Amino acid sequence: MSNPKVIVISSDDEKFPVDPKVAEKSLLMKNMINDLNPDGLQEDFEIPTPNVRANVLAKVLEWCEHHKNTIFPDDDDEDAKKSAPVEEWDKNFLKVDQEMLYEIMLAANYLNIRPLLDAGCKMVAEMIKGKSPEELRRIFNIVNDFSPEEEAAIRRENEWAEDR
Amino acid sequence: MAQVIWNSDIDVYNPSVIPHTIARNIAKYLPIQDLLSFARASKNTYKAVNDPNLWISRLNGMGLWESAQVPSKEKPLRTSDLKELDNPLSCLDHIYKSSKAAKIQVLKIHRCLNPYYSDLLLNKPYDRLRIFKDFQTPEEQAKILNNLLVYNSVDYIDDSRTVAHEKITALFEIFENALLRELEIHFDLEDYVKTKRFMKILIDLKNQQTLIDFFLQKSIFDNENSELFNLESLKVDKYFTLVDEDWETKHYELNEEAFKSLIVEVASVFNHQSHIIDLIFPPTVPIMYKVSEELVSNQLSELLMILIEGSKKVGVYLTLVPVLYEKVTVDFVNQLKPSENIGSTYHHLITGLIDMSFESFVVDYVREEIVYFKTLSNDKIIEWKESITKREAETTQNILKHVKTESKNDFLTSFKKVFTINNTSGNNEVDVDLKNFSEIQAKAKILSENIKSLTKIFSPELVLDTLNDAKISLHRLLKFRDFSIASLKKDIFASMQDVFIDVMETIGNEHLRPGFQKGLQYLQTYNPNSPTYTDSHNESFVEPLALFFELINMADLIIQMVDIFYKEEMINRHIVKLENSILNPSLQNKKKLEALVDKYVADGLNVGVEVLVNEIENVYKTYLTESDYNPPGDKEPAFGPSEAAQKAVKILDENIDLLGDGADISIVEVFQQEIAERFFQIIVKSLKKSTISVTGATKLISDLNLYYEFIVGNIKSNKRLVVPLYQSLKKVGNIYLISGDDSKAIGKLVSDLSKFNGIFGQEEIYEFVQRRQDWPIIKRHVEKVMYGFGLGDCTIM
Repeated sequence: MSNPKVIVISSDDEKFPVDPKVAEKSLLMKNMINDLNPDGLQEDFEIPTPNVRANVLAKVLEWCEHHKNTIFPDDDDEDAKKSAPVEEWDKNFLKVDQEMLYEIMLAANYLNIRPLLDAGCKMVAEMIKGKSPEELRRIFNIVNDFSPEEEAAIRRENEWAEDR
Repeated sequence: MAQVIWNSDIDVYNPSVIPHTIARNIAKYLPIQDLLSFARASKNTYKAVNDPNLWISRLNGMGLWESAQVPSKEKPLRTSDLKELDNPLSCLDHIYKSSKAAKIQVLKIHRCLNPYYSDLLLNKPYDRLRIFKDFQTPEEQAKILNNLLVYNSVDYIDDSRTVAHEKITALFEIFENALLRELEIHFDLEDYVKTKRFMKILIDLKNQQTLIDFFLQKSIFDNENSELFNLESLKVDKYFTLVDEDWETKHYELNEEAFKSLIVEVASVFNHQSHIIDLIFPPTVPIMYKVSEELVSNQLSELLMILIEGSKKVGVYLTLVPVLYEKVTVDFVNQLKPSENIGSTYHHLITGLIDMSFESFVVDYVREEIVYFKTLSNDKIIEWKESITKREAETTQNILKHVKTESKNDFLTSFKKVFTINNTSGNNEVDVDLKNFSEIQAKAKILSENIKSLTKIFSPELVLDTLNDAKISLHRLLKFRDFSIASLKKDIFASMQDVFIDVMETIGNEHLRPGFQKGLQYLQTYNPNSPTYTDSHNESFVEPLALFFELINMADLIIQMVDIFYKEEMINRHIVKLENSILNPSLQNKKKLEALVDKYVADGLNVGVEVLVNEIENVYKTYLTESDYNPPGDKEPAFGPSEAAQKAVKILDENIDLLGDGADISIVEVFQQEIAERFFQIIVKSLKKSTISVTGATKLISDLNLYYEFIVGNIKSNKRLVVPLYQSLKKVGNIYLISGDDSKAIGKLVSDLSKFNGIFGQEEIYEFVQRRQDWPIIKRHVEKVMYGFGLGDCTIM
């Protein structure tokens, strides 16, 4: 038998067999593999991701495959990371519609893939520059969960700092 | 197949809200103004934006958090404390390290600076920018540009950050160039108040290096006022004066005045620069040090090199280098006025810089000095030696001139002539009486003349000369004693030791050793019994000995001079650090020299004592007759010492004080003691050969008394060791005075060894008593007393 694979299963039951090395880009999957197979992977290993759709999972695993040999810097140096521009490949990879981008970030967050999440956040940050709160909600496809009173209070709170 | 069973209860995916982690992550990358909209999108985004850590990281990004003021614990921060943050110029200067107030502080900074920052991002010509509209003075413009640059670092949107950064950098460049132009105009007009103003702005904009370069260019490279900056036209000749000129060499001296005014000029250059620097530069810019460094290591260093090269041509190199160094490190440095820019370490720094520039000069100089000194002292010694040899050769020539050419087979005739001449001439002074000498006589004459010139073998003057040369060299080297480069300083001190060691070796090996050897050789060749040294010579036989002692005295004088030199020059001037250490090569070499003298003194004394003892033995051989102590029977007992004893004592008397008062007391002691002991042995020896009758005993006792008196009167120390010898001799005399009839008393006396101070053993006493003229008659009786029975009482059973 060839090397055992990790089989990642999407919410819509699609199976994605990948090398353990690729799956381990996700800290969540890496921990799962190591915790449940302390002696190393002997056979194929299924990991269901019940909140990730197949097309999103495919994208995420594509990123993992591309970066399987990349060594990312530790999380310590926040400031350097912030001003470092997004890598060109990642930038192109993340040129997807807003909903897809947002879903990739959610998946990256859930699967704990920090570099992917960071790149996504940076892309989003650039994307939402100069947008109003309403526009933001539309982009993220979220609902306004403030009461009208809360909304007014926050607006007042920040008004003084807005452009003069 | 292994499988993870998913717990479907955990539903982290609620598409209608942004998960808090994601909101927080996005917020990290948002520019400040977008954070405000982001906060209004949903509860999770609001929460993310209000996380104090987010704002602290912004303050950190601007480099303000670490250096922020810690608010006092008693008084909580109030809005009024943050008033400064409402001013675009001062908004970055009064940050508090409070996580609670992090957000409001960042927002205040944002409110102040963002309008100008956004303005920069619009495509406007520079002169229409708001910063130049709102801020007119260069100080304010510098400040706002600086603040915008800081603010730029927390613009996390790549595009705008890059654009803004380029624009700010370009603005800075334009602005700084304008400032520099202003600075230069005012500097050239010598309006130092305005110069200082622009200087300050430029320093705030971190242009130190540009300013240092500017000042160096203006005040040094473009300066042509001083000779220091115009080395091409420097006239070296004026620094050296021609003092003496003979047909083959010219002697130069340093022109004190010229050097003095040169130092004044150089100091005035430094003082002038320092004055201007203090007018326009704050002490935070190390400009005076840079200027000094430039002036010392280039201009001054080059000037020194030109002077040093010049000095080589006129033969005053060795004089110049130390003098120049002293002038520069002492006179020059003392003329420097205080520099606010450098502060209290000014003189120290300058000296350090000078030492660095001087390093290679000093290395060369020290090497030259040592070579020069060694050659000089060597040459002088050689010259001295040659003069000695020449003089001896001349003496020899002078004498040999008068030697008739005789063939070898004429030897006997010439031998005879020696006697005839000696008999006829009472005066043999070479320079007065130059008769025709025979060859052998001439040789003796040469030897005797050479012995006379023994005293000229050592020259305290020459040693003094050498020491003086050493002193001059040492004093020159000493000028570098405070040199700040440790390794070189060590070399300099080692070189000074070298000079001293060289002096010791030169004096020891080239002067004292050969001198002593020559002296000893003369002394050993000298033979008072040779036919040329008879009484008729006017020289007393001991003259060579006396001369040799004079040699010793002179060597002693030389050693004392060396000792004084060592104490004054080496110890008192702290050239030698570990005075008594075995690691002190100077002391080692000095001791070696002293040991050398001691050894030759001992050798010389030995030879001297031998000569003296030989002479005395000869006296006894020649003058002590059989009848002295054993007069023919009918004669009356004669009183008074014998002729031999008188002559012997006379010789001793003449020589016992030879060493004179100058000699080392211990040497005198050893010498006298040795002579006393050897004399004692001679007396004993001659006694054992004589035959003494009771009548002759009076003479013997007179002799022994004479010896005793002489020893007591002349031996200055160690009497305890010497006097008992002569006392016991006197006792020995008694043996012969007792009449042969009283053999019992004789026997008693000779068996009581305590009477002879324990100097003689029984055997010796027995030998003495045998010398009695009547011994064969009294032998039996005496032995009976001594041993209880006479030999004749023995019968073979």
